[in-house]
Amino acid sequence: MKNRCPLSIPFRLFRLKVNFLSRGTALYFAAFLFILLSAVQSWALEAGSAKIDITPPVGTPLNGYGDRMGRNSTSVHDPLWARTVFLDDGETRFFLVSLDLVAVNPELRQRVLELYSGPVPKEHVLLTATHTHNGHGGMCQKLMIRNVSGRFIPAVLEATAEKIIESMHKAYNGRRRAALGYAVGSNQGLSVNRRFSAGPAESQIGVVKIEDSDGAAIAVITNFTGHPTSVGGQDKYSFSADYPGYYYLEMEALAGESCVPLFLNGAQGNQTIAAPKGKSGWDRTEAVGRQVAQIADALSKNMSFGDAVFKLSHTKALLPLTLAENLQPKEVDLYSLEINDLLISFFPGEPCVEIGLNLRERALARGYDAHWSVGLANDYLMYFVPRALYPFANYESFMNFFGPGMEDWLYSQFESLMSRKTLVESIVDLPDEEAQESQQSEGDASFPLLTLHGSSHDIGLARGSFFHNAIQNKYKTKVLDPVDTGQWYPTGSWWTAMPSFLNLTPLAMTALGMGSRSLLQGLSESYIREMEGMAEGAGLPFDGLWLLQHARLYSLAKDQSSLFSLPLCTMVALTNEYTGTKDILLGRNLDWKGDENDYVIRMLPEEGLPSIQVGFDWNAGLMTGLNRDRLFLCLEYVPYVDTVLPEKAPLEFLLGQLLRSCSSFSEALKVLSAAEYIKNYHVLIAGYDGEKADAAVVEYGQSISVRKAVKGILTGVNPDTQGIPDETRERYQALIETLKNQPVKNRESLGTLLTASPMESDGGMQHIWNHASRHCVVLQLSQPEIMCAFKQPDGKAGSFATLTVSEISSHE
Amino acid sequence: MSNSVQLTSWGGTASKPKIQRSSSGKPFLFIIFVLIVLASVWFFIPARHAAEMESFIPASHSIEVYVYDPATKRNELLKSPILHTIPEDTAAAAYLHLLTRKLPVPDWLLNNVSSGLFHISVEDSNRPDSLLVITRMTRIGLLSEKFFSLSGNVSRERAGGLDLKKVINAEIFYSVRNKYLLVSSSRDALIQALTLPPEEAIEKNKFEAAQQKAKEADLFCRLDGKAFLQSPALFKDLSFSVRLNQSMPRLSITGSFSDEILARYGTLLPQNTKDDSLDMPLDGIASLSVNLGAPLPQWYAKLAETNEGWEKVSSWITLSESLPENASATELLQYLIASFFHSSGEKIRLAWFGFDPLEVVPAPLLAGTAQGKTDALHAAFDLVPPPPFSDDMIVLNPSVNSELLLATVPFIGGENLTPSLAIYPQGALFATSETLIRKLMQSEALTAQLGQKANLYFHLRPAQAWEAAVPALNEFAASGLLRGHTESSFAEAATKISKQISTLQEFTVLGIVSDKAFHLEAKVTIGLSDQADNNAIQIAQRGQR
Repeated sequence: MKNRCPLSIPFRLFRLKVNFLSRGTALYFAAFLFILLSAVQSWALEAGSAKIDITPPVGTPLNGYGDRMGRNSTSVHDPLWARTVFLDDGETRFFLVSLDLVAVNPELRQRVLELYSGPVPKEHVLLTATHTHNGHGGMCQKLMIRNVSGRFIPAVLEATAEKIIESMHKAYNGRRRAALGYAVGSNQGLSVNRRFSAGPAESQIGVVKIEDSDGAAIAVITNFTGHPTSVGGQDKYSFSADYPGYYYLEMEALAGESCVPLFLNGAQGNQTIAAPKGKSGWDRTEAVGRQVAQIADALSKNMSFGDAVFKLSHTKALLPLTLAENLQPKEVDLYSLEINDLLISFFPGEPCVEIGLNLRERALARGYDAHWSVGLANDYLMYFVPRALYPFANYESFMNFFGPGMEDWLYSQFESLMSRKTLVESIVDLPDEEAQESQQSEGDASFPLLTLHGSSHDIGLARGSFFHNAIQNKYKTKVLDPVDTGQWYPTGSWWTAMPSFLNLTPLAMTALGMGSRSLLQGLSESYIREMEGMAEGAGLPFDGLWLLQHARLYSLAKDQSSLFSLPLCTMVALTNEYTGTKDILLGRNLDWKGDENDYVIRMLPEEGLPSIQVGFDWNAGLMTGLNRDRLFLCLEYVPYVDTVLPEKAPLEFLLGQLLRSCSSFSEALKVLSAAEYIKNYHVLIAGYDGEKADAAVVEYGQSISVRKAVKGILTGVNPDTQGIPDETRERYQALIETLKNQPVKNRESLGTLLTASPMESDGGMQHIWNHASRHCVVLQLSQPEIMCAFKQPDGKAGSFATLTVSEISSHE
Repeated sequence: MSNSVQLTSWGGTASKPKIQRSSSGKPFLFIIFVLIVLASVWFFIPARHAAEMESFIPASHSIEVYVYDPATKRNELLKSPILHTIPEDTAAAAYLHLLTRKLPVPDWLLNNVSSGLFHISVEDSNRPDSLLVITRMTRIGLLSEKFFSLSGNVSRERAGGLDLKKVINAEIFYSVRNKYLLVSSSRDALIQALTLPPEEAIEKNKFEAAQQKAKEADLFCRLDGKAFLQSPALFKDLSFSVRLNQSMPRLSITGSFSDEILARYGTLLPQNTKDDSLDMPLDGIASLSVNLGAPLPQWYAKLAETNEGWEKVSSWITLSESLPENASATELLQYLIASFFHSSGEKIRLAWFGFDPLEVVPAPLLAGTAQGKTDALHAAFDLVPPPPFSDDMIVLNPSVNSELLLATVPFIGGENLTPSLAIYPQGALFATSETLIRKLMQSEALTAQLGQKANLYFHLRPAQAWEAAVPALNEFAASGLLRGHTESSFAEAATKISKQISTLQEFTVLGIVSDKAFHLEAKVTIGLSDQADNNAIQIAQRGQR
């Protein structure tokens, strides 16, 4: 025998073994590989589920309706649950918890996160509420919430949090290999709009089903949209999960005992459930709940199951300013979950369906297969309404505390969480510093001119930024101080009976903000966007800026403080019968005591008509203005009746709306003539219908009347009118007298007439230019120029300066 | 009147031979002896006119304070833990600071200047310049004054023989008459006292009575109607004595109301208090037990006559003959309240038991009883129907438990915001909390009597009151509704107040009030601790800086 390398012997033995086992080995090896690969594939997803009864003792208050007045529960109709799914794709693990509560209040979430310790990061705990209005309360400490959620019972908060933790541990401990499928389909009309019968409704229902390797259901997660507010009557004070409770029962029956069904409510802010076959009461509750389960189950039958890749995105976002600062946090946790091609956006409140639908559109445009909105997740900031619904005097609008721009804020935030970008990412251009400089005031001190251009929001933002300090000061003196000192409290109300050591200002401001929403009615979206920008630029909540705009109305309803006096003015139009031409001469003095800064603002919006406005720093309404199509509008206050808050937008905003959108005289006159809710004003309107110039005064007294020129002279007030102040009568009599005896032929002479100063005398309001006069504006309607003169320190009018407005072309 | 000394001449007369001089120095010694005698006479022999203290005190002075041994009393005050409880920035603290500050004379001198009574008086509170202090001096005090007057700090003024002295730096005038030291910041006041005709001086028996009271206490103070400058004056006269017991300072007050007050409110005061007794006060943080001297409806009728504002209350206590059918919640409530009112006798109790800070709004826990016949209330309980059920309106109808004789009115929130009314053997009981009323119904104090002759009892437990208020106020602070405070700034402020108030355990008043006079005994129970002593030392040291 040759000496062999010792190593060769084992090798040969190996070769012998391989040869001997070659056929079987290959088989075994292939089987081993198959098993290994299968194991690797199914080990990628693990899931577990659990449900724990969280029903507290009878006698604990319920949460959901203010008219329960925080009283105790009296019975249990059906139990309340904490239902948890644990999911782990090998890289991302999280808990998704659904609670039979009206909302996840901050105290509960905070306690759950404090108590939880485990392998899942705390920021991966998603708590949602089904929004049943028959869940328990007793867990909110904030005083303002307790009239809805009942007295604060720390023991109930603690017990609920502990049970949620228990469900999480149980779900985690029960985790196993799983496969997941999802689907969306039609909810067959089970969601309806609760505010407007023909309004938009959610038509989608979404299902995620998780099965284990044996095909047994671990959990079924259903996203359906509709307020669970169907329990009432004798059971008003009973604990119940509402229709989700019947969904659970039905789904457990359909999917098997191992299944833990979860219910995630959608963008349900203005949605409720239908009444199948006209059912009502518990019949309706049960019918809807079971039908939701049946639809979801049917959808799940056609799903394909497989692995899942999760992407959980989270941001802690700074919220827009709000008047309800005692009620709302400054920042909020927002979450977005992607399950393969399904995107789920978690709203910390109650979004209206419009917002959910719009966000879905954006998500689908980015290539997601499906999108769910899940409301009442991880916090409760009340309602989110779309901008268009903000001015409505209804519950959802009142309960929206972040302004009409909240809609866009939500889109922006959720889109930033989406991992899929659009093909071309557009960057929104806000006016940069350079652009802001061009918004600076032009002209000398006697003719302050501010040019604003860009989108409506940008114009507002620039204006708000430029006048930031003045607006802030005015807000303090005209809004905050009167509220803080109780001037705006209704006389004899409980507000006035409260002890002085209580600070009621935050509550009062919130209430006032809610109450002023309806005054936005009639304003276009672009005008509202402009004011959103202005609020942002001025550093105020939207509702705060809006309160400032009509602060004087609040004050006049109770108080004659000169701080909130209204403009008495002189307005005049001289038509062809007087001038002998086709043109119209227009002039007005604005008489208004105050320390505001007068400004001429040139508005060059991207949408709407360019215009020139003469007004004040803080005031976004219109006092005097001329637009590109030569519609001229100005107003004068004439007290006929006691001042009351209007039902819709105050007059100066109606005029601002017209200036931005209206081209013809008759069209604007028609709108003004229909504004029956306006009182105590006269509006001078002049403009063109085709080639013909015309002018009129719309008088808002006890009723609306329209007055035309008499022998070519049209004054803001007819001196023969009954019930007008004597000074107003004298002023206009003097004006008419002068016009008759010393006819004016051009705007210069009109301007001279309007600004002749009687400083030898007392300067009282009976004079055309008086101690309250702020500025004078004269123009010839056919010419693209306005002339303005401003009050000087000595009280007299300064020289007229002419502004040629190139955007407003000459009218041939 | 001037000090005068009778001199006896030691010189010889024509009929008497002169005493022979001794050639051994005896005349020199004799002269020294004479000088010593003269000096002794000058120092020690009292004035010819032995006027008493009261002869210097004007009867027109409406405020008088009598204190024996003021130096000792001052030391006791320094040790008293009550000093610690008074907030620094108050007028009371300022006055105490004056008393406890370092004095311009050494303690041993102060201890030895005055023997017996120290009397302070003033015309009225608007005339501080009329302040007059009189004390009887010891011999050492007299001697000290002599030396003091010879120091450069004192200027003298004959003032028509009155021998006035002025402490130059302190702008204080004083005079020594016999053994009495009279001090005032006003020269005129001092002169007035020194020249006071007897008929304008305070009455001797009045003075002696006050002296006796001052001996029995640590301080006695008397005020007459003129002292009270407000119009109309509240009292005709008022006196109080103070005992500075370390753990339980006491105040005994006696007085009578002014004629103006009696004319207006006299009918509200008990006329005959001979057999007055009180129900045992409820054991609340604050508690009041009164015997009105007349059943509550009668008393209220008199109150309504004196004050127009009570008309609004009257509609709620007018008892109608029967309940209307389908009576509303308001009508039922009014009927129960009126029944309770008309069942009430003379003895009324009210108490406050703290707050439930976690209720829908922080709820004060209040209760009260009215002793009397309860037939009307029993009848009312029988008439009130069970509350209806409504699924769309909140129901405020009262609910009666006939077995327990308890009526509850569902309000907002839970049991501690559920006004309740109950019947017990001696009368009726009401509370703002159902939980509280059920507890009180089991309490023995409900039917007990105080066992002392009195018609007014009140107590307040300040430390406990503050500890009860803090959680309630904190709820407002936590919700941003407490003016000027966040939750953390309020916690800081509350802790500071707690420390200051923690030793004030209870303030109690017991007494008899009638239209003729009133007598009240008040005491303050202070929680003693080492800290209290240390605090007292710190306060004293602070005063001496």
